[in-house]
Amino acid sequence: MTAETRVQLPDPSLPPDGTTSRPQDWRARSDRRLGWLLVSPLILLLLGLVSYPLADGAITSLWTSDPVNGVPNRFVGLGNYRDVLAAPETRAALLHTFAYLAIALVLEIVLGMVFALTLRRPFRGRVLVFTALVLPWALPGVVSGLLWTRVFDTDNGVLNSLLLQLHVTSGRHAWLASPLLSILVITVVHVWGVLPLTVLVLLSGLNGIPADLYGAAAVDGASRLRQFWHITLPLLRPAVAVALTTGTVAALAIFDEIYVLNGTALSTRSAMMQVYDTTFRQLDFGHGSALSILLTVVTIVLAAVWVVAFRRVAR
Amino acid sequence: MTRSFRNPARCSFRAAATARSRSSRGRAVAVAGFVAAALLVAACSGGTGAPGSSTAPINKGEPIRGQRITVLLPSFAQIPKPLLADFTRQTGVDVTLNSASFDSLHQQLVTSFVAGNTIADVSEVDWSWVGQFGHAGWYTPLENELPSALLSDMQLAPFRSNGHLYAVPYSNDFRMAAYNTDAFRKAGIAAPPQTFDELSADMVKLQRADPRVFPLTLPLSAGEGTATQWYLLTLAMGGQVFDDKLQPAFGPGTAGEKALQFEVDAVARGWISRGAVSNTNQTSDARFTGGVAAYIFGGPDELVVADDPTSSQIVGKAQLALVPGVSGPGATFGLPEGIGIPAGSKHKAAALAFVQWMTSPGVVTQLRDNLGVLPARISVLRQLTAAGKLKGGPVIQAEIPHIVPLFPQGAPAWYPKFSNEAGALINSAAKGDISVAEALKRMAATARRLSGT
Repeated sequence: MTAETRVQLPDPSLPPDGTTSRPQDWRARSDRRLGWLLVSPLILLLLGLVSYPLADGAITSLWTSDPVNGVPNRFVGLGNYRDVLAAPETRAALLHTFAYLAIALVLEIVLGMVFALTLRRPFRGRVLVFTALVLPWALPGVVSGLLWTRVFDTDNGVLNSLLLQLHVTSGRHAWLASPLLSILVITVVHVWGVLPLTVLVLLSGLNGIPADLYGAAAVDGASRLRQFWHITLPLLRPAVAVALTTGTVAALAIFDEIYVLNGTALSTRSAMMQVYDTTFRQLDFGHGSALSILLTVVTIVLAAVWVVAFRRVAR
Repeated sequence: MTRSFRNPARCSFRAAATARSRSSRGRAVAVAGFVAAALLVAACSGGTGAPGSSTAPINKGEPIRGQRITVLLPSFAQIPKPLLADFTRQTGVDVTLNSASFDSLHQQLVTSFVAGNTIADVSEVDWSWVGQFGHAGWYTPLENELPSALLSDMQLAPFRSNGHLYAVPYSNDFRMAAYNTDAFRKAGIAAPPQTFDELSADMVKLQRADPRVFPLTLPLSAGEGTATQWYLLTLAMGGQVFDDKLQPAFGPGTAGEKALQFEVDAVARGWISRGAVSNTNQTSDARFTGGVAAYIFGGPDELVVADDPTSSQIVGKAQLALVPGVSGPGATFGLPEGIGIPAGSKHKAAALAFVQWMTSPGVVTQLRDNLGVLPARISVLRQLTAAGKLKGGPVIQAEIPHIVPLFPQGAPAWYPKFSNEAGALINSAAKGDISVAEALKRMAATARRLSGT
């Protein structure tokens, strides 16, 4: 091929019409178009699967809904919100949910930190421990609930048998008979499922901390505890914020574990169960939607609080 | 001329800040547009409301050959494929058989009906949904669509509401009692109890004879099964749950109060495990077949399950018994499973043909052989008992005359809401969180609120 016959390839930095004026502008516009093109499927997906149901729920929450009696829907504004907040069963369900949330977050962060710090260092069998740790996360809530019923069963449960064999107790406990104990038991089952995610998040945060900092601190004579307190904790705060956010979302949506372990018992009913009960059992879509929108708002606010608070401190 | 002396770095910072501000505004506009679009789409769509369905009579003369119908049944009632093929051969109608767990069926059906869709041409209709579904106009009335020979051969009361018949049973279920003969013999009890006084005395004997075996098992978790058990005990003790005007009939001194007190006392006296507060129907059954409990209120199929060596520890030891009462055998009630035709079905004639086929004597007999469901046809039950093919047949036949409808006038539309609340309150009483009187008071308040009285 001679030099004369060679095809002159266009300069990709220039616009297609060959003009040379402001190539950066053209490129930026082209990049923006490509960006919109690439994210458009995601936007459509979000519009269809997240925003539409959310918007539909928000609209439904402003209307009465009585499909069984065939009464036409009536606009009530924020009336449904006022009703659900005034209902004693909703208040009880919200109280239980915040109890689940508080206990779960404390357990997840404390235990997550312990596991993450342990797994940070290489040791024999680390991969096996990782695998075992991640397994509960992969199990659906119903399955883990069913597994735990075998642990907490009064007559044939593993826990009672163990306690009796170790002579810790003289009789069999009905773990799900007491309101406080049953909330604790259900939270433990919930934490068992969420903890692996918390550990992975904290572990990725730990791995992002430069080792030089610990070396320098050691040279300065800082103890392990001081290193943890002054290096690990401050630099881990963004990861803790993520762990708290995921933990909050999971705890506010708690349902399966309660349903399997304790049914719709009044003493352990969560807000999400109240949403299900109101919407699908009582077929009261207006009040059910109002409660679900309230829960969504609480989730967003709490998630924002964690992110803002921990980001600010980290800065 | 200060402009020309501006700090270039500061200028570029301002430019960047302006660009960021524009970018933020752009993002805000995009998010606002996104939200507005979602709200607009949601507002313009159908929303919740009653389905646009028709309850007009079914055109039985319509040619159905070549049509395809969708049938939605619980997983325990999956019709074997060869049997379905018989229906297609006879009628030329193809069937898509969908299954779902029983617990999710109600939600699936309700969600589709409220959205104005129909997910099946024939679907499961539990007796407890009849009032709700009938009141909403979601199902086709069948009282004038099926032959009288078929209708007179079934217990139809649980499927009637507002004067209409919304489903017909394919599975016959009612409450009976079952006991472990081994445990009873060890306790020196010769025959199952006929009255609640005898039952209480037997519980004490059983408890003394073998402390490892609980005398009784009941579902007491917060759920439908727990409410159902209390209804049974109330009827058996000679009472009613609701009066003729659907007002609560379980105030102080009534059979309803005695029934709930019996359940609470059974836990307190150790006749039932304290863990029974987490018992569902299934776990309660498992305690009986596992040999952990000696007496149970269950269905006629209790014997079939108890004699299944793959899942039972008491094979050959269980026997059925009549539900005890005040001075002799007490009343019981039916919990049949039925099938109905959603009002929005596009193939109602084909669906009706399927309903008739599924409830025909030959098919109910085959369903019993294949799935173990008790035939809903009374004539078939008699034939099976006479031929000695029905386990516990004589006791089952003896129990049938004691069956009374829980709601003589048909289940009210609010029944599912009430039973849900009742189950939760009975659970709270069994745990000792609230007293029997408080539980009944709150149940009555719920019933009055729901019925609008």
